[in-house]
Amino acid sequence: MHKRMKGLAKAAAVTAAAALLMTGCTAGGGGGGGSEGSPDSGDLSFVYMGDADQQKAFNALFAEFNKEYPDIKLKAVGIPSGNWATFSTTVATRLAGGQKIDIIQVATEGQRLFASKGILTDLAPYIEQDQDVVDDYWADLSPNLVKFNEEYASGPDGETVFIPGGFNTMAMYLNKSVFEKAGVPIPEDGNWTWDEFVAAGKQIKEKTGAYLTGAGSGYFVDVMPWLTTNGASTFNEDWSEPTYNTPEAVESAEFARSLVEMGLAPKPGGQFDGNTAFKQGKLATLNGGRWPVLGVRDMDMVDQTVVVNWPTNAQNGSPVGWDAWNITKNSENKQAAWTFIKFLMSKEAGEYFATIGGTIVPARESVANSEAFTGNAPEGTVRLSEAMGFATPIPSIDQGAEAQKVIEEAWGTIVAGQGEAQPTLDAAQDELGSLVGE
Amino acid sequence: MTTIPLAPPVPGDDVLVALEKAGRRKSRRRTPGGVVVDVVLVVFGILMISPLVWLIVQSLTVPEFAFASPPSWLPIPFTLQNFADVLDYMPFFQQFGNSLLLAAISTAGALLFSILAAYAFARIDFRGSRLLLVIMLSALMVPAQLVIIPIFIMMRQVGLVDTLASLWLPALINVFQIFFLSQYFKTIPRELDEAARIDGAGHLWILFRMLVPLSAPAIAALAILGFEASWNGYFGPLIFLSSPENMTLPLGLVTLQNGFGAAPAVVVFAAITMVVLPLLVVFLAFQRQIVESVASTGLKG
Amino acid sequence: MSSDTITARRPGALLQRRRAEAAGWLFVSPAVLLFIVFVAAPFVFAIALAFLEWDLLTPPQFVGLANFEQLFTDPELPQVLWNTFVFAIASIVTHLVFGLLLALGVNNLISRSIGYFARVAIFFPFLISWAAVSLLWKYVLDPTFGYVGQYAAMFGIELPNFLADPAWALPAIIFIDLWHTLGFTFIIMLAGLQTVPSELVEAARTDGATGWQIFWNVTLPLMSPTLFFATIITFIGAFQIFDPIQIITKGGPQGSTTTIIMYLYEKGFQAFDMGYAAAVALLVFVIIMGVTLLQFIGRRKWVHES
Repeated sequence: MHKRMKGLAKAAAVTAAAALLMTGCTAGGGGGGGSEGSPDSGDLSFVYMGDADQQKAFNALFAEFNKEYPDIKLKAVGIPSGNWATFSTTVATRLAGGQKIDIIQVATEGQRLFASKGILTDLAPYIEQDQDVVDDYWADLSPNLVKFNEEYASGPDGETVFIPGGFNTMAMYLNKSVFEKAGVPIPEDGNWTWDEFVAAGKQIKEKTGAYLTGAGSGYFVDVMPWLTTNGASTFNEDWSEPTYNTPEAVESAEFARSLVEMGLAPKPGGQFDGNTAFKQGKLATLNGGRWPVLGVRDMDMVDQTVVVNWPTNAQNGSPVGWDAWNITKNSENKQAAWTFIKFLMSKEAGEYFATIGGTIVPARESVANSEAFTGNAPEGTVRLSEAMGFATPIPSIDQGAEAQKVIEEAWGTIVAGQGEAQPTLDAAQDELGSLVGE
Repeated sequence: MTTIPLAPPVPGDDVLVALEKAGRRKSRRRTPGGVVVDVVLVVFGILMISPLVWLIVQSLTVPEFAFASPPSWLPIPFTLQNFADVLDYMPFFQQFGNSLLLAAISTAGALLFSILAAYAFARIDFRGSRLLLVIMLSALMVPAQLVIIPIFIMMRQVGLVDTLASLWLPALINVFQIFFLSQYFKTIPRELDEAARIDGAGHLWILFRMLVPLSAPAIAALAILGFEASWNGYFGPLIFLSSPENMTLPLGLVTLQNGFGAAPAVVVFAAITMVVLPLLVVFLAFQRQIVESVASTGLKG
Repeated sequence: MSSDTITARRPGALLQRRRAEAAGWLFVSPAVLLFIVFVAAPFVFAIALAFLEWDLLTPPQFVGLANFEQLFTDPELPQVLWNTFVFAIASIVTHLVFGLLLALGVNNLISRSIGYFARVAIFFPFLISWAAVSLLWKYVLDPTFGYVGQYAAMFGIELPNFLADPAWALPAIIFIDLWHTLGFTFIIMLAGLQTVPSELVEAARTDGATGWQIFWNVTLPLMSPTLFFATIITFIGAFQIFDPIQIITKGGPQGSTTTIIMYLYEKGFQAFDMGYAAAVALLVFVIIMGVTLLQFIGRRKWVHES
């Protein structure tokens, strides 16, 4: 045993010496310039964020595309990241590693990361090439979506690098039977205030024992809805300065905490499964954008569910995040990629995707108002697309992953009752400030 | 690679004897103290397995009634639907296959190269062998997380990120195995080699026809633990794999519960049960071998 | 002694010698090649990486000692190291105490079926992947969903909110880790107990020593190599704890469970600051090397070796 120790000490020295001699491990850069290719043939690699459930919908959509363009071989890679920040970094590393990716479907939270790295093609020549198709598309989008895409998701020199796709806003899915049992009316026009929300929750708790809502700290699904309905946000309008500790933001956080304190929301910590509790009648509302519809359908609860706006204190509010498509600079089939994007922009693709279980609000208003989107969905589903009118794009700075962590940690601390709202948000504000380089 | 200090020789067989002999020593009187020990052990054991029982019970319960309060310890009403639903949320069998393939290649490959190297270190006096062994052994102190960053960059350069190869290639070298086996080979008398050589046997014959069969228990122990480590690995897959169809089970399970549209709790539980139950069967069938391999190598897997 | 020294005196010895050399290198060559590619070169590369700033997207920049400067001034690092050492030490103490008690219990067990049950119940969790264990415990400890909170509520007990409370999250992870890996320590302890000669115990007993005296003066000293080994292996495993933290708490709440490897993961694979992550990894290496060397020094001092 003792002998071995001396050996190890010697070995450490020898290894260090060997290390100095060893060379040849260098790392190269990214790929080349790519090429145009043919518009109706070639291999395409399309990367998107999605778990197995969403992948089924995507695969059906791709099959539909291949009916029209049998010579374009579409390889779709779904990456089931828990959040957009992780997704962006995962894709970015793959891309830098020389993997062939032609199109990335990326949501707001990751768009700047991609746009700022200069890895996306300027789409102007392609748009020009099919001006009528693009014009038709823009005309059918919510003006806000067009504006947001230009303001928040342009390339470093203001060029168009993204075509916006579907989006998500935040609303509440109400369990009708719980509300009925408690004798609480469901807001007729879909609008209610924080006070009415709390009053409803108290009555529901008393009459049925069910929780009113979940108490999470997700940036998009918890933090932003409470902030925006009080006129607050995490950052100012051009995302240059954090605004996470304004009086309104503090009030929002304190309100979210009070829901837990009053026993209207389950204590955070661990793994609370909203869907299960909702189905069991132990939870009165589910929070979400379009995606809860899949669970609601699975649970056969479409008819017992109604979608209403997030309760408000100052004004109607919701975050919005939208998917967008682009062509990477090192794509070798840029024309085929553009063909596919044109397909995604088409009304037919939008309708088809909405019916087969897409988890977003279709970008085209004509589709969002059609049976394709509102059919087999809870009453009031159209409120999701209407929320675009008052929604705030979810602030997503270049250091999105770190910012999100800071924001969610602070919110979680407050909601769990582990810190006062004001000092906790003050501290988070400082950290966010240092991230944007103040 | 696992970082482990070199284990003191632990008599694996003795553990089994100890485990088996419980209950055979009828000579000992049943004292009140002894009964207390029995009761404490039973209570402790029940507490240890209660999360697993709860897991299996919930996974067999109709979703509307699962996670009831007060907790239910029987699956009422009973259903198998949750298990069928797992396949809607994750490519379970594909991931099962990935895990199996990864564990099989890593384990078999590492053992093969370890056996070859261990033979050279134990039986052939070649120049530089001592130095080489010492250098390799010093690498046991290098934490896996240090080398995983460069390996990630390397794999990215050769386009192997998001493939199983990015995981089993680095697993082919296992310094501890080399050391452990060479020590084991040294316990086998060298006269046997000489005798075989006089009969005209070469290195390969001596190694694979003689030393390997004689070292079967040690090799089996390393194989069991190597397989277990690979089968259960999370850090490597988390770094290297991102597509569901390429994931191994541990990563697939965690992914199942993450993100938007996460699977319902009962489905997550069904998936965990689908991982745990086969393991329990394997454990009950091969308890001796598994316990012995842990005891004799001191390896944490 | 070896066959080669015997053959060296015969004619053609040189040839034999050369053939042995060739055979030796031939047999180790796959392992050596793999070692160079997957251990030695990455090790050197990691050191080089610590002098770079590189996000893997844009070309790497040489930044000299900046990453190490950052390491020594990082305001988060003291907390991270503190968490890591607290976890490691708590892990050692709980594993050793419970592992030894259980081993003593099973060793003195009377009923065979209880022995079988205890062995399965204690050891089996060790075989389950951290992924499955972490997911399960996330539900078990949920204040609403888990049975721990449900029973507490039934009896009107106010439990801390384990995973959301910065004061309780690390203890909760320590507990989950104990549940998961106690079986390993238990087996090692049981093996160690077998090295204690029963004649010595019997002799002490006939001399009138009490059970406690036997344990303290005979069993424990003779167990010292095992205890020492278990301490070191538990420390090294605990120091690199990652899986349950990444899955259950993601290092939170308020950084209370961010251990050094979790921190490395955040820096390297979430923020993609590869250079700084490499510097953190080097720190881990230095600490583990230090403890491993201490092991060999300490071994001489404290361990009773026959």
